[in-house]
Amino acid sequence: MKEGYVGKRINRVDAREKVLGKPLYAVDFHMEGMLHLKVFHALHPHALIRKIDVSKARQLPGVVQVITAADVPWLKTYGLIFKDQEVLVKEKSRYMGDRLAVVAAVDEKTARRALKLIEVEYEPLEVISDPLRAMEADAPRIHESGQVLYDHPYNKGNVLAIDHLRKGDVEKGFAQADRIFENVFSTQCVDHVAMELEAGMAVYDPETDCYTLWAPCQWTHDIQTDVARVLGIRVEQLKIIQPEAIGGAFGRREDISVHIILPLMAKLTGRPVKWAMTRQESMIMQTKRTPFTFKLKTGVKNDGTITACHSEVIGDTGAYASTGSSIVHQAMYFSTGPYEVPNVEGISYTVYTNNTYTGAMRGFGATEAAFAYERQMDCIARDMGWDPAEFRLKNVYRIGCCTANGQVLTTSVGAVDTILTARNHFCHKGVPSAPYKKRGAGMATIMFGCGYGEGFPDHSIAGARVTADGRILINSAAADVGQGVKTILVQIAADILNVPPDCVDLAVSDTASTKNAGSTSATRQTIFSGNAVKQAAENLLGKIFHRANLELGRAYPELSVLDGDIILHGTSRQMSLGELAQIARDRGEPLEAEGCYFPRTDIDYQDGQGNLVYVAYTFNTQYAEVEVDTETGQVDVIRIVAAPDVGTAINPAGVEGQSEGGAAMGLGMALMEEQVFHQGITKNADLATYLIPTSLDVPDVETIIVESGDACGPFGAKGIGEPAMIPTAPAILNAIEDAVGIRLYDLPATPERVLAALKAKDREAENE
Amino acid sequence: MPKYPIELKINGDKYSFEVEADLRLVDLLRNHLQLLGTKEACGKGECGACTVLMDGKSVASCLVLALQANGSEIITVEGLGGEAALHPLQQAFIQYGAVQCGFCTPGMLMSAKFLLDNNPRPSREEIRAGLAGNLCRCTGYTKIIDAIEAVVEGRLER
Repeated sequence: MKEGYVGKRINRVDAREKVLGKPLYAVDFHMEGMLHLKVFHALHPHALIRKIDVSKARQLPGVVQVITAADVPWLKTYGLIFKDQEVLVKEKSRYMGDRLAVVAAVDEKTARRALKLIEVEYEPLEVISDPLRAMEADAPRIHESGQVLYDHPYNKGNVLAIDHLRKGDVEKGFAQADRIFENVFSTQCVDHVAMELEAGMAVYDPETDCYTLWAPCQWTHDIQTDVARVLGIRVEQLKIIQPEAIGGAFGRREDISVHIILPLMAKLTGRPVKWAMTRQESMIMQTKRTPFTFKLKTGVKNDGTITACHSEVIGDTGAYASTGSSIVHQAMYFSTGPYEVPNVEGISYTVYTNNTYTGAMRGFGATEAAFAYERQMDCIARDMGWDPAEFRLKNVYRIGCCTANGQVLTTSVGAVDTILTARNHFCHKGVPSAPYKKRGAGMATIMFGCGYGEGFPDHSIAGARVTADGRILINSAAADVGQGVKTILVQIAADILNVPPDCVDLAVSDTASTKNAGSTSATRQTIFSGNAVKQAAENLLGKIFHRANLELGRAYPELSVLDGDIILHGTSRQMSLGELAQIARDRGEPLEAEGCYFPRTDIDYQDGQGNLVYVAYTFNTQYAEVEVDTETGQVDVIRIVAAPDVGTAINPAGVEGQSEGGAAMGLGMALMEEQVFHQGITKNADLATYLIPTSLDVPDVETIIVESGDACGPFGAKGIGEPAMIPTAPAILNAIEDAVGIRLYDLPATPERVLAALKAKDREAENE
Repeated sequence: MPKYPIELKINGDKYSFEVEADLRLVDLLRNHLQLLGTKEACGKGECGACTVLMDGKSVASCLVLALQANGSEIITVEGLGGEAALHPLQQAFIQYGAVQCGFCTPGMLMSAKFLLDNNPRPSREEIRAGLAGNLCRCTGYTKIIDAIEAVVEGRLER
């Protein structure tokens, strides 16, 4: 049998263009006569707006237009789940990223100058930076007409959602336990720091009353729908063209950034408009990782069996909902980790504050939950005298186990293999580089539910056709934000159609010529668009065989397709795919086909239970080795070993790339990253004060891919994007405890925190 | 604002411009010459995305005024290697999976070139240090360092 292209380390299809610096990102777009936009943001995180005076800005030469909410009263509100965001705020600001005015000018410099001429009178209100304060009954309401989902004694206006999880009988479970462990963990606010800043360009055509927008989106069709609704136009009146390259996303490009203001201003000014954010503006205005508090209570028998788990989860969604309530309840759903717990109860609160609003970021609640449950598992193992890996192996999911959501796992459960593989590869820790430095090793094992799940109508549609020159053209709206889905789709089509990958092209992705592929989020594109392209390619192959049969008078098995030709075995006759495509077109039956993947999931939100809550689960175990400087509190990560179970690796190099990048992002979350708010004001809105890992901070990441196969994705694949980072932060903090015996419950483990904990430990030792 | 004449060599070609005093080198390259491979991601010299070589030294082109570049020789990613003949670093970045979103890639390549121009046989740790001014959020740096090491050790597939 001829070897296929799935499972091969083929080079990324976009790498050549990228090393030449050729692909156009959103910020690279330019048109003649283009105006530049700048936005005036609120100068107070929570205030009534008494007056906005833009008259001086309007008079500045070079300024073409300045608008405020008063000029566009017909605009509707927007948001990914709850439509609670105003394009331009009218009466009050709820965070510093709120927009009060938009300037369009002939160049950026003039637009910036105009911003300085805008005068606003505010009446400051109490700024709520702490979700616990927001939940108090006497706290001012951030949203006057907030969505009240549940009847609850807390401040309804500021508590966006309360969700529940109930499996078994948690009281009975705790009664069966020999030991009870209770801990409180917290995770911080993190910025995605995608390298490419938010930007875009738009034009409006008055003759057709249609808009064209060039701006990166994780989900073009969803943004198209929301923007059209806000502007009061039909969906077809807005065409979004995905730039050929997108400079990272990590969840940040799921929310609207430039996507409404650009088409709006294109129409109002009658000229092409461009908006490119600064790093500071992006950091203050766009979504963040949701900060969390987890109260975990775990019951364990002396033999190591976990009998019950209770979790209370509070997530700060900031000033707007975005996907906050889903992130927060997902964090609760995953708070038992990949461990069989017969009795589970959880409650989660999603709370509004005046901090920058939070939304999807790599892991979507599962990352934050994993920090809590994997620290909890480590504390329990340590306190009960278990080896950390053995304690996890005792409880970790196997085929037939039942998740906290009540889903029985029937296929592709490689959790045990990830633990054994990572442990074997890690072997043992090394020797400290100085007497005052201590080495430690830590591990973490996690699970992640791929796809939206929870009954959401999640699907992807793709097309494939043979072009007149015999090449294969794939049509998919799946956003490649850098993770490499384009390459995966090409490999899958090449494999099915038996053509070399360099004979497969991807059509330009825009909302007019592609159908919904769903979002590049929830670690779902390999599964969803991978399946859609596989099905489209298979349907296309069927058409190729059918047409070849009619034209050549032979059928399978005498007929086969190889490297772009139809081959008739036993004869010298053959026909190229291009020739066949032209004949098929002439006959009125072109060689084109569509595929769609649309699985059904379910959940009952009353108790968070369902039969198929997520279509697949990715498991990942990482080991981290750290060296802690006991004099400065500095933690160096020496090594990271990762063993993700991806079902089947469509492209092992791509899986490694995700694993390495994920571990680096997890390292940043573990040790250095925190977006700091003081009274709603971002204190570190640049890359000199908000630190992300550099090449000196990240060690070599060793990835050993585990392939449990048999998952619902193409060729048995599952996703890797998010689970790549999830184990890293808990593994590093577990390693710190192993090195110096300090128990940290809060992220990040900065040198200050480590040093304070070391001093506290010394004081305790002196007192004893 | 008054304009001042400057002359400089960019990717081997001579240019003269009349520029305002506050025009940055990155703007000159991107807006006046459409050399869009040089990227800007912070505007403050914190991320390295806009790295170019100026008289053989790596600089953040967002921190250099066009006037300061007067008389100098600039190499950008477009001058590193062409379609027909990729620079070995470019080949290595492709073969070793060192590119993901690609936004940091041009700056990374220029820092790598600067490193190898000045230290043709760097150790892995020296490569790591040579890239410390270039942020990448996608790759975790492992494959970028692998790629540069492959060039140093002559391990590229032809």
